[in-house]
Amino acid sequence: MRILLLTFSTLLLFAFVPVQNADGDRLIGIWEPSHGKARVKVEKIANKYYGRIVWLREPIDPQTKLPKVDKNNPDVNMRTVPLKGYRLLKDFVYKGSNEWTDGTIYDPENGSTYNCVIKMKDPNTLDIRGYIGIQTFGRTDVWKRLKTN
Amino acid sequence: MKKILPLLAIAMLASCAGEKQQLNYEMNAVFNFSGPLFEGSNTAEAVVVPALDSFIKANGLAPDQLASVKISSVSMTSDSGNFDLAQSVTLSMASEAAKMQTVAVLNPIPAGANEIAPKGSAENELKDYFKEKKFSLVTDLNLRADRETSYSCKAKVRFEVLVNK
Repeated sequence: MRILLLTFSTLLLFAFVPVQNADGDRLIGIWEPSHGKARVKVEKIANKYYGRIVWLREPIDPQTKLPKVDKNNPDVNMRTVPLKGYRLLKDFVYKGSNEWTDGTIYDPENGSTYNCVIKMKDPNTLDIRGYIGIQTFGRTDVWKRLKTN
Repeated sequence: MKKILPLLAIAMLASCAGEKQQLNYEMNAVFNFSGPLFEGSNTAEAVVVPALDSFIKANGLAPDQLASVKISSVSMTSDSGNFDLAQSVTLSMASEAAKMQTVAVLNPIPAGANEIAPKGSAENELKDYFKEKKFSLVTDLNLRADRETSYSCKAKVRFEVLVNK
């Protein structure tokens, strides 16, 4: 009986892990924040989820006439990183219940990084909540999935 | 007395620095970008298994005394001619436990270069990656135009490792 239980629980564990992965992978795709100034592609690296800017409505800096760079980064050495391609969502882990946590969101307009939690309201809508400290003190933005076909 | 105090402080700093030994550790990675590739940022990931512990041991030091790992330099070579297909490149590190960090960037890439040296950020503390069994080096290549075929390049990443004696 004990062997049977052990076998059953092991099978259950292996069955659960791929389901968790597949559920988490629903975040993968291209998303547009409510301001519509950028599009962000979410991909998976080392079992976590990351989002980088793949499109900018205004890709050229009006002052320099060159492609925009991360000029507000607190690390001086990183201020030449192009904004197009910039990874602003980092290190998200799927925790179940349509929620990805433990990640951060970077705001290139002020060079600040915030804690962030992503909630999938429906397959094409995300609530992206950036906050400092506790979630109560934060701001939520609604992102829409971009249809690619 | 005013002159002695700064001298004393420098002497104290020097003695603290003497308790650590600096090693130079090198890691190689190959990045394969599977075509078709598109204008803008394209990502390739190389999973690496660090052998820093055995490297520290081989230098007569204890791996559990690892104090700091920072990037010292990066060099990348193109497998097909030069890097003219790309405007810029960034190198990041990621793992399951540690947060992703961008560790080097080159923007713009000089014309005609088949070997480039993205500038590393010495501010980034990277030792957490080396405590894991594996981590990922991630290269984002910002392409000038679409490309039908795949592309690959190699990276040599050098780290400055400090170990408490």
